[in-house]
Amino acid sequence: MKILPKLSINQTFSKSIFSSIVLTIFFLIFISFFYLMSPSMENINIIIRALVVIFYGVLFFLMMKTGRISTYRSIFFTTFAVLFVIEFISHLFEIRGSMYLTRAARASLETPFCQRAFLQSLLPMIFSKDVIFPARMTGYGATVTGVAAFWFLTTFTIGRGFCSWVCFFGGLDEGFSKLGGKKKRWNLDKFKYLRYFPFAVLIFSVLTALLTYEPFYCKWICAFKTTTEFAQIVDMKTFFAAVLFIGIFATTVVAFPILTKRRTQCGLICPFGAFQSFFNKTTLYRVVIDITECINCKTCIKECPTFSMTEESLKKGEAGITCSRCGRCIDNCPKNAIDYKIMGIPFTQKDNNFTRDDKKGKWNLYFRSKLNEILDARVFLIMTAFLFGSIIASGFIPVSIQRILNFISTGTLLLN
Amino acid sequence: MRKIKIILMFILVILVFFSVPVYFIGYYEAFGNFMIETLGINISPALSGGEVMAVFNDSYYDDKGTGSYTYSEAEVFQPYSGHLDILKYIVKKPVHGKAWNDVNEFWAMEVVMGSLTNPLKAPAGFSFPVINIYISIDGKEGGSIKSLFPGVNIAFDPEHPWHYVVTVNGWEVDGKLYNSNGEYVDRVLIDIIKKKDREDRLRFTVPIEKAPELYALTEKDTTYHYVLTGSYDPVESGNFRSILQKESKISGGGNPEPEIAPMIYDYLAPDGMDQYKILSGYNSKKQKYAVLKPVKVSMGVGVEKKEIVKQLTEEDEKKYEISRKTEVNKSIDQLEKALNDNIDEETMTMLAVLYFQNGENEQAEILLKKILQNKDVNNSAALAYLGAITAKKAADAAGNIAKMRILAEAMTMLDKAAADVKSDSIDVVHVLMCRANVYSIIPDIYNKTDTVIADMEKLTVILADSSLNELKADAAIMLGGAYARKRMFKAAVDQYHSALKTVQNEYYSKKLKDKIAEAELLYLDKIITNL
Repeated sequence: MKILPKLSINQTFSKSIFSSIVLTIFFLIFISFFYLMSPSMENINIIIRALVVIFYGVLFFLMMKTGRISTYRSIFFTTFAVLFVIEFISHLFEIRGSMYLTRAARASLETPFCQRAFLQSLLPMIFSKDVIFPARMTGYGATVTGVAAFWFLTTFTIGRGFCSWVCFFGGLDEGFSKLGGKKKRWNLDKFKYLRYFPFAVLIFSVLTALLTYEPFYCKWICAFKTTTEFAQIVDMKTFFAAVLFIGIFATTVVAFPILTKRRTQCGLICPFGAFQSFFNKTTLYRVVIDITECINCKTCIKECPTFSMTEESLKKGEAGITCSRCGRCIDNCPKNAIDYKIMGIPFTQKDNNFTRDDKKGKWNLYFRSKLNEILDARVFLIMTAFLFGSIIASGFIPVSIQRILNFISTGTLLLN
Repeated sequence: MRKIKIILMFILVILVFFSVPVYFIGYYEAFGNFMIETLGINISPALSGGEVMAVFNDSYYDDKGTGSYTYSEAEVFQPYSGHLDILKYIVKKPVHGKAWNDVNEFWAMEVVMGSLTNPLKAPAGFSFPVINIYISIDGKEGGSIKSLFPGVNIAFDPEHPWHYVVTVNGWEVDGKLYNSNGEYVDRVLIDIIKKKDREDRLRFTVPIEKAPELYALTEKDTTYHYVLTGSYDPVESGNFRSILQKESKISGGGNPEPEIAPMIYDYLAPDGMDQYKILSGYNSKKQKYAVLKPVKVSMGVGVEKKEIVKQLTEEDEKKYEISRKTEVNKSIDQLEKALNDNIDEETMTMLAVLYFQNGENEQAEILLKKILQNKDVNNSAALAYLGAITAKKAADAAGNIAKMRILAEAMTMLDKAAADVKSDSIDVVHVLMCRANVYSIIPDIYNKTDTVIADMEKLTVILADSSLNELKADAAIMLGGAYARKRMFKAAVDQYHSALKTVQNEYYSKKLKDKIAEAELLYLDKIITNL
């Protein structure tokens, strides 16, 4: 019996062209259903929809073929956030004529619900069964139940992976962190306790919501009001609120990411990110460090955008609970010692050994070697997370691109 | 061990790849309903204006004051109906406490108008109505039985003198709250509540901090409300436009005695009372205004569900069925006599349709197949009826998979018939009715309600000039049913009303009245459950 060697530890995570194509086709079949066949997209030019599908297909293929996750995820995630902002603001101008969160919109319960609002609504909802946010309960768009169901499903499949693959806002500070070269002008690593700050923000936002019976964080602190909707500045109170949230946006979403090369909004001030961290243990996926291979170069600690890699992680062999599964540590580890793993199931490209038996007439050796590549934890994580992200994006990316084309031809982003 | 790993992986694959699309395909709606209905979670009443406490329906198309009033003839009032028509008055429970709102303690009322438009760009978002809500607090001394605005020519029930009045029009950003001494108390917030698939509503949020009697209302109290509308005029008393004998560009018409008759177009009359009679109750000789009667709002009582008293009895149904069958049988007898090998295609089709209508599906199927095989492969009407018969077979089939398979065949036939039928032939009526009949009873998951709406709208246009009133009513009932299925109850009620105008037949008339009552009740439920 011919025993084939396991994949060498020093080999990269890249997959063969055949496996990459097979996996990409599988991925495209799923997203095509949403982009090409969904009746809700009938108003959007089929060419735009097809181009988006191809774009995702190319990114997915490159992730598989090159083995680099974060590089291509980052392209997806940043465009995801930017196009979301374009669509959100343009739509507001179409229906309200401004970005102002009007009294009528609140009274009509037409304020889009988001994950941060969900977080603040939880305790009041448990105690009084009241949702303290002026959104719709059910129906189309960002409703309370839609977001709740979405949160439930993402949390129990990709955990805090939400923050690097699906969040509407996270792509902005990720995008800014890529600007201005690779050099860190401000090193936050020395502030060890900073990583606990989001948990303080989480407690603050939950308690204030419970005590004031309104989404206090949304009203005063949320930086992303700058790119979505906010109260009209009519008095000192609204002026102060605007200064506060715009200031937080300018610093934590724009300036700090450029200076530190970290996602400071997501890693330091987002209460939802902190909340999601508690569910990182409830998912199947882990970012695991092979301690035997680790040379303690600390590249992963320096690279981690959400402050999740610490020296303690290196000792334990697993990323901290705030890990958002972005894959940057995996891409940058010089020894390829970090990878995704599925809890309890050692299916990774490195560990698989479907080719160890050479039972003639059963499995062809070639296809069994491909199985080594395909039945891989990272394939499952990327497939799930990217699928989530791209399906969510189907609600705004094609129409946003249509708006941009409209802007190029007519000078306006508004479609009607 | 390896097998276990592969099984685990297989489970993982299912989890990963199928849970995502399944969620997005629409199951989160079911999750939403579970949250609302089972867990009782809903938007805080402080944000939704408060829990619904009372809902009053007012008749459609009764914005005619005493019954004879007409709108001003200015073109902007087109279609001269609906703008001043109160359809619903909703009273919410007072809210005491903090809210993400401009006022923390308030009492909200909502009004649904027949039409709420703003062609003149009024700042509050609606151009035409001026709305007054006079509120009487039971057992409270004082109050007034005179209108706050003298020129409106109305008086109030002496048993229920009003203590506060909310006055609102679209030309001021805020409404006003006055007490019965005519003193301004506070501003009233006006919001237009917009919801998809639902009529826009006007919400008046009355701050109660400066109105001690309203602030102190408890669940034991009872209040009485007079709700009335006029046509906005910037210069007249209370902004109520004059209604004279003959309408003009600046005044309404149809008022035989403008000096004494009310200047209001619609008024919410209590159950069992007639608006036209009440508003015509003025006495020009004694110079007495019409006395309005209020609707009662008990502060501790939630919305009571009304039971529909059906007008169409089982006996009516039986009678109608017998007379219909007799007619059909007569026609079948006549046609069967002519049945031979040389029978023409048209007669054969007619006979098949009659068999179908009589429930003799087997005979109908044999004939229809004969037509399609031997006479005319492209006979769309025959194909549509065959589709309808096949759909019926699907309903009777054993097992869901068999049902789905047969229904798919039926739908293919019906769609083909609809695609092939010539729009100028009589067959189009048969085809559209057959398809709508089937598509309106198949489960929602097939998502065919829009097709029913499109088909019936098309049929309504085709039948517009014909005298086939029963067929028109059938189309309207079908269309109304489709709208109701989409929870567009006002559109449904409108369809039934339009059909009611055309039919003389007692059976149809009763059936339509029942449908209207049912749709209105469902609409009421929709308001209550979907804050």
